[in-house]
Amino acid sequence: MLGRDGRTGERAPILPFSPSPLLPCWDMKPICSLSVLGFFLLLIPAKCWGADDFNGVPAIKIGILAPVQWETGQGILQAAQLAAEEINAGGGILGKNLELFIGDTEARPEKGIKALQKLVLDDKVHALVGVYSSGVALAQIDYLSRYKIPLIGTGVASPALTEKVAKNYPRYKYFFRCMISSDKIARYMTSFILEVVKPKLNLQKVAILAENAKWAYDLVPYLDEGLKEGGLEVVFKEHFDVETKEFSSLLSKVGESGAQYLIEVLGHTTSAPLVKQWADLKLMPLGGMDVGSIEGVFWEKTGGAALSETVGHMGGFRTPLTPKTIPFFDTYTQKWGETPHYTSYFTYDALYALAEALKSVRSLEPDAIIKGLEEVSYTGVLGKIEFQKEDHDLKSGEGYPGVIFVQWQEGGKREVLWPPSLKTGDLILPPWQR
Amino acid sequence: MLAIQILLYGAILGSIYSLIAVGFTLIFGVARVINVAHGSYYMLGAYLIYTFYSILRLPLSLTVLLTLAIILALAVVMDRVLIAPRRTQEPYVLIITLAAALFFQELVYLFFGPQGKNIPSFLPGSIHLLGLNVGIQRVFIFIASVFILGALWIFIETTRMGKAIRAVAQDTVAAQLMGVNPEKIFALTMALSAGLSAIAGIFIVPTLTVTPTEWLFPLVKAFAIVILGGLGSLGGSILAAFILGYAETAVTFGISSYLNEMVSLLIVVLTLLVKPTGLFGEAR
Repeated sequence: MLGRDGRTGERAPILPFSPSPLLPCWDMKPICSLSVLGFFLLLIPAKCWGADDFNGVPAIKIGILAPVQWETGQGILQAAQLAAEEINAGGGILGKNLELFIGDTEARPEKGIKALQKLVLDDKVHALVGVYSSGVALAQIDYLSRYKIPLIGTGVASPALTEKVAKNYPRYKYFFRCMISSDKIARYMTSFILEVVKPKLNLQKVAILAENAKWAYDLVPYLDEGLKEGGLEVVFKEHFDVETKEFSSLLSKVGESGAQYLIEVLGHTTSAPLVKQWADLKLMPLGGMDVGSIEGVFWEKTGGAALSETVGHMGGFRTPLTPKTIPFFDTYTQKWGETPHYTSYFTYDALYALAEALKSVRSLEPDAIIKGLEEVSYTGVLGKIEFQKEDHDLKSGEGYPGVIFVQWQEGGKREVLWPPSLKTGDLILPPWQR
Repeated sequence: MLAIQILLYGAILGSIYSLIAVGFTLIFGVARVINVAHGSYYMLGAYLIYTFYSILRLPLSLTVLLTLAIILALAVVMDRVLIAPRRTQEPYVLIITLAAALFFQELVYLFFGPQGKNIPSFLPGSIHLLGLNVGIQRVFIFIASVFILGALWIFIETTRMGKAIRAVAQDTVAAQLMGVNPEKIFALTMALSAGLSAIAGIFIVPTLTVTPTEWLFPLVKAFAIVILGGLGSLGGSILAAFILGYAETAVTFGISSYLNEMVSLLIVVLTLLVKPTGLFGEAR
């Protein structure tokens, strides 16, 4: 088990040999000073290719950034560890083992920066994976070019991140996103609502309830637009504070709005109270993005009030997206005693994709890693992992990672409602509407 | 429709607030102590319930009893060990209780992490009341609070112990001369006030969530209520609690939930400007 600071072994030495105990003294005899000068001349090339030469390092060090005490953060760490163990068991990357170091971001920008600095300056990692929370990643992104360290962001949905790469490639090329961005999430939500919910409920009016986080602010306009194009009317739209626990007044307003379907956009909010209060008020059917509802124990947390809530699972669920998905799901569940979080799938695939990239470029130079990631095509547990060259966003579409819509049904069982290729059940109504 | 919603939800919020505020007023009125850790009992009560009910899966009645027992014991220990030695030095009491509050916060962070916890409702489901769907848990909170406050009032007004408490509140020295042991009364009052705060936490955690920093919210509300109602006045606190509850509910329904927190702070400012001793407070 990785220790709290993630160290499992010795640090790689910066130089391939220990420096001589004889330090230059300015009053040394000429021959001594010449040999000392020669010694230092030898050091320069060694320092240049020492740490970054694949053959010169004992292990490949990856820094994992995550809010350690959050469930989504645990999802990142656990998936990273599972991936590293599997890769090392399979011979590592060209014979070198992967070593993981942890940086706790606490999901806060200033802590995220400190964690990044610790990983880069103290632990001297070769690449970074993780983060969670677009707000934190946006704060960290400028430090990537300062330290020349690549980062594969998992759990970060804001389009602003990849827009930076596109607008200023030389400066932001170090950032890659292995995650579905908000605008794409909105499109998946729109497709699900128009294809599954609209015909079933004869849908005309919808309500949107979103948290006040960056990714949600980015997402809602796309959602709004997509729903309107699909012929629906958004009769209620409000953002609420992530810390809110008392939703009765908000939900009552939703109830009065005349909407037939309530679309939620929740990521950081603890959503159990919202869902319980929604059930208490016996409102219209509920669905959308609710990260809190992805974990298996959500059913218990809400005392079954989550019945009929439809949740977008970004990336994964226990469904055969690829032949690797279900084995990963089962191995992870068995190892950690809980089902993978959405961040787990992306982190797992990000590490494997990074491994593939390193195998092909055979170098730990930042620019080489970047090139490797731009060209990688790896089939993971979510689908084909490929990054777009112009903005380093994850490619999407047929065969690529997307969003699956899953509904809580009787007894806490979950059925996949969309996409049609993975469907296992039909949309059901809340118990009070049948 | 809006009026009925405000009427109902305001009453429920008011009853929760009165539980928190009454304890605070009691300890101040009697022991002249401003206990910054008052909110911590609320937070710890909620976390203890979470531990016993959700993690250890003990039966409900047992969890409530255990939680209350632990909180009461904790309050008495805090009073005897931390506060009693220098009770008359107000700055000391403020600082030591603040230190205790922060200590509990970090302790909870250590064991439970920062994410909000909540537990399944004791009384799941909802009923139809005055044209609205209201959670049964919430109706229970209101009824139970009224019952508890009523019992407290009877205790203070009619029993000997209650008389002793009132005597100490009026004049500690005179009470001593009449044979009352003030230290015992202080400890008892501390336990009572902590118990009330913990009960509020126990009621609320099934419907909302609790986080380690949750001790601040009841404290701020208690302060606002007690300033509005008048420090030391039990009746004033209850009335002020309902005023605050209704004011917040009206703002949430009428305007936006964003302005919620502003209401309590606004009330404090207005009260201090217009009538600093509060509605029923005695001038000190």
